[in-house]
Amino acid sequence: MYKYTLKRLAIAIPTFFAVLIITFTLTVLSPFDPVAMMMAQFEGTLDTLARDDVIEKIREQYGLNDSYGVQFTRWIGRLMQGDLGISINGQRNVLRMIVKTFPISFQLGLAGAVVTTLLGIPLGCLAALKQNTWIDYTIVGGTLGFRTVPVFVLAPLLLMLFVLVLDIMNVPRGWDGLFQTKVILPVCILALGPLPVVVRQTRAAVLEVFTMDYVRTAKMKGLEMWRIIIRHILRNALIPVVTTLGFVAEGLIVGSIFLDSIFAIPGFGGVAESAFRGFDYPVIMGVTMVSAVMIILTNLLVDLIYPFLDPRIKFE
Amino acid sequence: MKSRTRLFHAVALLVILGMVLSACAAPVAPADSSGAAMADEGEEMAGRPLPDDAAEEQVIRYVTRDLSRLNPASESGFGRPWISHMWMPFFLRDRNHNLQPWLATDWEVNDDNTVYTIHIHPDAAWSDGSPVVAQEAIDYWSWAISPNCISCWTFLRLGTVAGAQAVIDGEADTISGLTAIDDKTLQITLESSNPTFIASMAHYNTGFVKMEDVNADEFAADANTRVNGPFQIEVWDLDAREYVVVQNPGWWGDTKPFIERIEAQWSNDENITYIMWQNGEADVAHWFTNIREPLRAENPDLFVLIPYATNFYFALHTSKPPMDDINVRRALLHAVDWDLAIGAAYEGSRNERIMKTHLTPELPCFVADNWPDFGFDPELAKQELAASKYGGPEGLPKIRISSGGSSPNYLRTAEIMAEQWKNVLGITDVEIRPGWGDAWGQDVDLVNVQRNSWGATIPDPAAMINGLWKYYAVPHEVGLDDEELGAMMAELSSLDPASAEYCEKVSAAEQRLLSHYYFLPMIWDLYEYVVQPYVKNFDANVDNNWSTLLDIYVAEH
Repeated sequence: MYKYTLKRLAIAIPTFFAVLIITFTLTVLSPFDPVAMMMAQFEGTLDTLARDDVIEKIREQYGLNDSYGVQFTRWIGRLMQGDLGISINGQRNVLRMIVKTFPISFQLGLAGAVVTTLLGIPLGCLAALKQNTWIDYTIVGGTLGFRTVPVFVLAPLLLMLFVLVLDIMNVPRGWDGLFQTKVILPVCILALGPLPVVVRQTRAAVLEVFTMDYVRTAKMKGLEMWRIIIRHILRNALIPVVTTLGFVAEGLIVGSIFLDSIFAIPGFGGVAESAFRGFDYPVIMGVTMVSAVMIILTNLLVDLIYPFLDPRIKFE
Repeated sequence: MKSRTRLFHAVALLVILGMVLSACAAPVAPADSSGAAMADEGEEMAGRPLPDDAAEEQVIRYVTRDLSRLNPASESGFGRPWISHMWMPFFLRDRNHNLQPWLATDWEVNDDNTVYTIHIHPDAAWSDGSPVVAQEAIDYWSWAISPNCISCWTFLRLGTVAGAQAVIDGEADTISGLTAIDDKTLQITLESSNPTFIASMAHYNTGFVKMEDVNADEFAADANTRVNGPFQIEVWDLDAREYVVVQNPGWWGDTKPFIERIEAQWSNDENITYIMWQNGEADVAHWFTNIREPLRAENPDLFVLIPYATNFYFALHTSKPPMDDINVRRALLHAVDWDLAIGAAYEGSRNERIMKTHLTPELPCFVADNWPDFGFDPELAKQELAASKYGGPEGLPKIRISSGGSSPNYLRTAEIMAEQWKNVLGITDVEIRPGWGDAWGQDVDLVNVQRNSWGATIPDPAAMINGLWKYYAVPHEVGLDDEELGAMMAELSSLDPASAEYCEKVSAAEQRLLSHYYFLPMIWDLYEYVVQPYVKNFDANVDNNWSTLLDIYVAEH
């Protein structure tokens, strides 16, 4: 296993650098000017006629007037020293921004993935066992219904319900750690997004396994249904679900853009959102690096889990 | 057995990874109290009795979208309301732009307006008790305009000081035109005569930080940064999104503020701000979008206008066809019913703020009808287009409108303009793209209508009109060409704002500028706070400072 892991990591290194080079090239060569975009947000509140002077001065400070080659060499040189540069939009150290925000999103995303798993797999099983009944329709239709409402609509609606109509809470904002009541709503909303995917994946997998001979044999032997589900059906049905869950978790961690914004959570999603909105390329590069690492590690983790679920799969 | 070992290793790896990351994400530690500790060393201010109707807790909860790093040299967002109460500029403006003594007591200027002498308040001191001295302003300003200060724009205020350009260019370390006559007297020598320079000394950009506290080129103040004003930072963490400002207990001023604490909350989603407002979780809020309008309908008294001088408009590039013909420009203006257009585009929220002149109503020298030919006149528009060298809509080159941002208000205005041109003038070859020039790629040079804005935080109408002229006389911008206007503008720079002819000449220059029909108007923008009725004495000045902060208090509610 260790050898396999090391081999996979070694293969990942060129992939990682290829992603970085492509992102850097696209960002630097794009027609968008991050400084102009930063200044646009101050429109009307700063001496806007002096905008061109200010833009020119700041572009010079960040070396944005240099050629692609010079910028690339400088960036790689800094990267080798662990320096991801200074955010153009926020004038802060990019590495510090990521180090401060990523763990928050990691916890939030992981919590969301756990909730998705805990709800999605049982609901998917139930929907399969009650195939084509009202229970099946309600589970599949209900979860899909939530999925069709975008987060930036769903969250304010739920807040209006809980805060203004039912008056049972204040608007949950900020981050004081995972085990706080204010985290419940964001985590639930986060979990709702990928829930139908997991439900449908589980449902389909269980339905497929349900017709297998060994399940019929287990039934004929008189085993209780819950034992059949856990020992015989789920174990085999979970392989595609695990693949899905891996990417669900990765997506939840790096992709909670709207939730960060709505609940003022100082997370990685907010950093990514403002970076892409402002074309803040030092931050875009940092975000891309972290996302690339996450995807590589998630892939690896999912592959490492397969053999435990299916003994026929070997580390090669 | 082997698979159990593997499972154990995998689970152990996951647990360790989780623990490491959780440890990294421990809740933000309380702000370093050393700043407060330093402040405590100062002499405690004499108490100021609260008004009879004051609440026991004097805390303001402020919700806004833009909170950026705190550094007087770079602040530009909506975190600026108290920056002049932490690092005091020499003077402070009230709502009507009058200068009040602030860090300085008074100033003098020589006869030709080239040498200003500023007297710092003799009691002025930092929160650690050390006196504020003139050399500290020189040191900080020299850094703030240098290339070392990342994303700083103090050079806009001090660029006219003798020797400033050398520092801006990185050729000198210190601005040679600044001299500390003694600890409490600063002499500023300008490159050339400027009767309105003192206005810069009331701008938040000219507040200064002790250089020992400036720890990085991208310096951002925190709880350890000493202040010389009545408030200081408890926590200002952009990454953790925590922003709290508290009283500086060692402030040297005579009048202690009533407000003990301001808790700023970042809200990027204006719907959420609205829910917070309705749930009583915000005392002061700021919205950029029209979402605030239902509140205005309910209670207009909640709104406090920030007296910014801001115009939003579509600049017409007079050097590019078909805008090179003034008759076309006039026709485009007269073909649009601006009351209806702006009313529809801004959903009724700017009906009283349709731009009819450059100077806004909040500025000195404002004359409401200084553009007498402004207005909707379809018949006149048709005649003007027919009189142009293009003869009518058929021969008219394509109009390319860049909306300058993707705000729905800008796009709607552009679409309504195009629709009215089609209806009134028969012009159909119009293309609108959201964004700035970069949205046009290779065609960027063909853009002939560019949405733009004009705003300033120093209420100097002559400088504003002059600035517009200089900007739009540049060929690649709009390319205005008017020798006589150039002479009028040159004269404005030397006028004393207190002189009798000042406003007369400013108005004449503005009228001549407007007569070039080089833009299509949108609005005098409306930046405002929404303030709960129990927050008393709230007001703001032209650079968005809560100028009455010393007198603001929260009443029982």
